[in-house]
Amino acid sequence: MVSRYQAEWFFFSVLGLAAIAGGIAGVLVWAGTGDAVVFGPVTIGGDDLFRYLWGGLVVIAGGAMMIAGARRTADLEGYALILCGVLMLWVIAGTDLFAIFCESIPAPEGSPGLFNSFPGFLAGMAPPYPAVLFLAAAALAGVLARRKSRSED
Amino acid sequence: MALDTAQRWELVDLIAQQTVKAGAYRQGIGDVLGELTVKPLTGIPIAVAVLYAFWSIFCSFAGTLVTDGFMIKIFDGCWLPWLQAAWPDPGSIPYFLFVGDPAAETCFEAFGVLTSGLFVPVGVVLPAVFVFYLMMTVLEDSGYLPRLAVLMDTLLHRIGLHGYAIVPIILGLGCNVPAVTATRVLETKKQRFIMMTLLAIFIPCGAQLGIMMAVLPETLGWVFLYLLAGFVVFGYVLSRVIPGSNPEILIDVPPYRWPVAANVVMKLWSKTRGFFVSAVPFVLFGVLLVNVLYLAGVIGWLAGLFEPLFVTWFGVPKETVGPLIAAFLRKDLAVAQLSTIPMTPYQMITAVVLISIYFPCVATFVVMLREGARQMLSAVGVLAVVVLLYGGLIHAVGILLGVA
Repeated sequence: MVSRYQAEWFFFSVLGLAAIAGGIAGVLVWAGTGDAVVFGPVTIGGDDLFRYLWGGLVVIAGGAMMIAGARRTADLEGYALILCGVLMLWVIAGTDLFAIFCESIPAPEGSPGLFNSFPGFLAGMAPPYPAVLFLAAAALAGVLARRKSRSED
Repeated sequence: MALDTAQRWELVDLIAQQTVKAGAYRQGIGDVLGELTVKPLTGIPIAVAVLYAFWSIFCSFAGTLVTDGFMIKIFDGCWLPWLQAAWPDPGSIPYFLFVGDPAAETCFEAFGVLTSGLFVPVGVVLPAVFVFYLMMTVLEDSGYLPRLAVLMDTLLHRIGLHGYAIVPIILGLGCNVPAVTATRVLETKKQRFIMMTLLAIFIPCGAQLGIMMAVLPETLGWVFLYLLAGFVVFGYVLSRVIPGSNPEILIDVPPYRWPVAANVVMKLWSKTRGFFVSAVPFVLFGVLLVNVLYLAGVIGWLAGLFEPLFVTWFGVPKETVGPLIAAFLRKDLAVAQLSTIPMTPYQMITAVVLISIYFPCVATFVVMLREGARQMLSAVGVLAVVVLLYGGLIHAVGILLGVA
């Protein structure tokens, strides 16, 4: 029978490793060592220094924090590390979503109006949203951390 | 009825007995998160993530949504054509001064008081400054900035400053005027001088950031790299050369708390309104002055005079002298002017860095003068040396890389 701590350790360790792998892939693709990596709904890689080098380093650090926290789920610091790691991934995913949102509001170039049509806006905001995966992990990490915090009161 | 000291303390004890509850301290998740953001091993990656979010939101909102999405369409699609049609006599001097180039298709190119003069502050700079101050206010009110100060303390000590210098640095990314005033938090004359000099030279303001993002989005990272390298190197040199002490400080780190919406709105309104009221007249006057100088042939004469310095030493076209004159009034205006001069990408990087490290805008100049004339003149002296040395160094690096 797998204990709660073991299940949490497994979940966040796998998520952390996936994040580190994704971050390294982004940095390597940006550096020109290969083509973009497509993994289901997620496409990793491009030539944007800011998004793939800086963002890649943030994702790697987030993954490392999750793995470090997953080893210590018996105490509050472990959960706090996990929560920080997940929030760092959410920074990348959330800002990507915000960028998509900002691109979808104005009318496309060449269109007469200022604002995009509603169908056009929806088309611009269409899934897939890799960030939803991180939202689930962030919500779980937050709930576990809050429960741990209350149990120590 | 006035109370004496003993009576006051008795009253304090009475109130405290009725209102203060003592209990055992239990560390909560917020406290642990607070500690993680201060320890270097976790705090530095978190700070990098916070700055990533800051910059990404800044670019998406100000650049993609407001400026590219709406302002360019309004100004270039409606305002400019209407003005070009409505203003009489395209060959006249008033037309040139107020509307600009009659063949221009964008407000950037037109360079008239009512075209570029309005587009730059309203269409490009205002959204940038608004979103910058919004995010900075949220970071400040949440309690993150003092933690950033603690984190940066060790690094900033190496260049003769301490952690609280992060406050004027971050303020300077909005506007150098409050940043120079904020140098008063630093204790010694040496620290205040180093901070003020580095602010004036290597910290681009929000207006500049907005225009840089519009003019050279692909190479902006390289501009920042050069500015950061200069900040560190020259800060280190100044800290070794300037006599004086660099004492430690005690910072009160508050707990994390959710920012109060009313406070954020009030601060945002105050800072944005202050910027708008002070910036627009300078931009309008700056465009008018530069146009008058062009008509009088002064710009051409200066370009010829400084051509050896610009072309040979800095590696930029001699036409850059026009923007450098405009940079004294408004640096955002100067960068906008650069976009109309044909240049290679590396020349553009060099020219933008030169404009950033060149003489501070007149508003900053006035505030520096208020802090002390002697300090301001010393800072300008350092600035002249830095511009010559660093400008030449950037050109040399470009030659070594084969791009200049």
